[in-house]
Amino acid sequence: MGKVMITIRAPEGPPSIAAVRERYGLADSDIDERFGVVAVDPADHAYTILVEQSAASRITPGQGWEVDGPFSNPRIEPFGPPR
Amino acid sequence: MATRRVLLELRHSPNMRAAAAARSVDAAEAEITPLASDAGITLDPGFGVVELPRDVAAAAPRDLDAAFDVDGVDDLSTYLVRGEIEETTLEAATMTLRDRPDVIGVYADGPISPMAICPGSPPLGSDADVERLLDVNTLRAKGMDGRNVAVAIVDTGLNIAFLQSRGKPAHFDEARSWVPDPASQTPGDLPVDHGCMCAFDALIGAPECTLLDIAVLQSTAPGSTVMEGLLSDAVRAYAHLLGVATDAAWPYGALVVNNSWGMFHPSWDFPVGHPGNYSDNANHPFNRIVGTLERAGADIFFAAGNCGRECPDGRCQGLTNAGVFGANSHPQVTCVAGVDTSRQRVGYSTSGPGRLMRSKPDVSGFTHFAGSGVFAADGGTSAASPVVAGLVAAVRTRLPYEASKVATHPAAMRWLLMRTADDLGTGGFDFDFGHGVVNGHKLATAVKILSVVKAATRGAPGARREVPTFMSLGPSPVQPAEPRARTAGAP
Repeated sequence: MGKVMITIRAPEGPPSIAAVRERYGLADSDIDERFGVVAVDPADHAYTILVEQSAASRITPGQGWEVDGPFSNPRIEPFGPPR
Repeated sequence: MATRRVLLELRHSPNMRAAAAARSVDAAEAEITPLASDAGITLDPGFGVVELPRDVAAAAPRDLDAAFDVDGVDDLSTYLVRGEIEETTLEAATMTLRDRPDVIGVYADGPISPMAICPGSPPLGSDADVERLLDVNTLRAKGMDGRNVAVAIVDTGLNIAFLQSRGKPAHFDEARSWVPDPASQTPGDLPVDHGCMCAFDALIGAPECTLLDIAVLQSTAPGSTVMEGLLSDAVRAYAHLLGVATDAAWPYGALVVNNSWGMFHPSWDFPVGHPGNYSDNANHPFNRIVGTLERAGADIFFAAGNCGRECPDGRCQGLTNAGVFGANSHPQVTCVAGVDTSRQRVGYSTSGPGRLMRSKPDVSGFTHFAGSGVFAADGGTSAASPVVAGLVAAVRTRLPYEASKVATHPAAMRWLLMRTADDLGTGGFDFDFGHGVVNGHKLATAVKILSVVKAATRGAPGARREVPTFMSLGPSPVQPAEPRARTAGAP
């Protein structure tokens, strides 16, 4: 199963990976640490994480955080000389 | 009343032969005029009568006697005349004509145009032609060469030594570059591939820019292969660009970001209507971070795609009417379609509308020319996009981004680029060419006017703000190459 992106809106600022893991009871393998927590729209306090699709349903809004997703993570390829 | 041009093929008669020899319908008027009149066809006297000599051997391949019967050869010829007929009577007239013994056939006489460039077509022109078409000499004379501008090539990675070997002594900022796996990859020292082509093509317009290597398509994500990545890699890369471009130590006057990649088919994505879909969803994390980077002052360029209706890339799986997907159609980016150096649309260039913003592509750029040497042709909308990005990088030398000045914002640059483009296709915007092919001469002139106005009004409260009138900029002195006929797919 692939990974999906989830956007968390946290007014207090970007959460740490550890805080996300603890809040949703995620295993180390459920969340992509190399991807980390990406500020996709800092002015709107919107931060994106990359998680296993199987873990996505556990990430739900509440306790001051809004949650959007899961979002697709399609492959991308060059629009180079066409084949 | 709409009319249609038609060709009539008629049987041999001595009068028809005489008319063909005289290149005039007069000699066969008694035969042709009543026939045309009955069918409601207005004949085109300028076309005359054209004889179609019949291949005797093909007509009677087993009859050697007939093949050598010289007297019978004339009887096998047929003759074409051309005329116009009203659309509403076309079907009935065709039926009437086909019943006549002197008529062999009725055919549409459709418009013809040069064959579009397709996958496998040889290059048309070279990077020197693109340089001429962008009017790089004028740009340089105005001090527009990319100096003090960073150009991020978000792609398969750069090889600076290769670019130097190809006559592009590029400035390079390794510290602000990005690779997915720093432990195994070194920016600027990656395999020669698609990214090098894009960098070479950006340097045509902006030879003095500084390249940033953002090697998204060197993904190390499980399941990925060479020359592809995942959209999450692009999210990480854009977060990196956002970080360096908003850092207090950022040394450049502007950031230009080129993206010659995308999604070929909707089956790669969640379905349209799914809340997590990418192609049609402005709320997708990548689409959001693209908007954020643009608001931070970056000029962002995306290739339209290679799913044009005439000859799409095989990865389109035959889907040519789906438009431009995802960030490639973002309202805050410039979406670039492809034309060759004769300003003909290349047959694989994806047409709009866009899925996020309908009026896409925005402009067209030059592609399918001999350039970097990475491929036989610098082709695809992949080459068109960095050509346009390089042009904007060049003019950014004289019009750097300033957060407090709206006239320098990316939206203003997009407006200038579209407003100064040479219209192609149908009048005004269309889904094949956008607003037309970019015009370096007019863009440089417009930016020059804008920077002069900006300087004149700086620090002068109440000073009259003048808006340059780009309609008065006049035609470009630069002429395109002559189109040439070619066969689709022929090497």
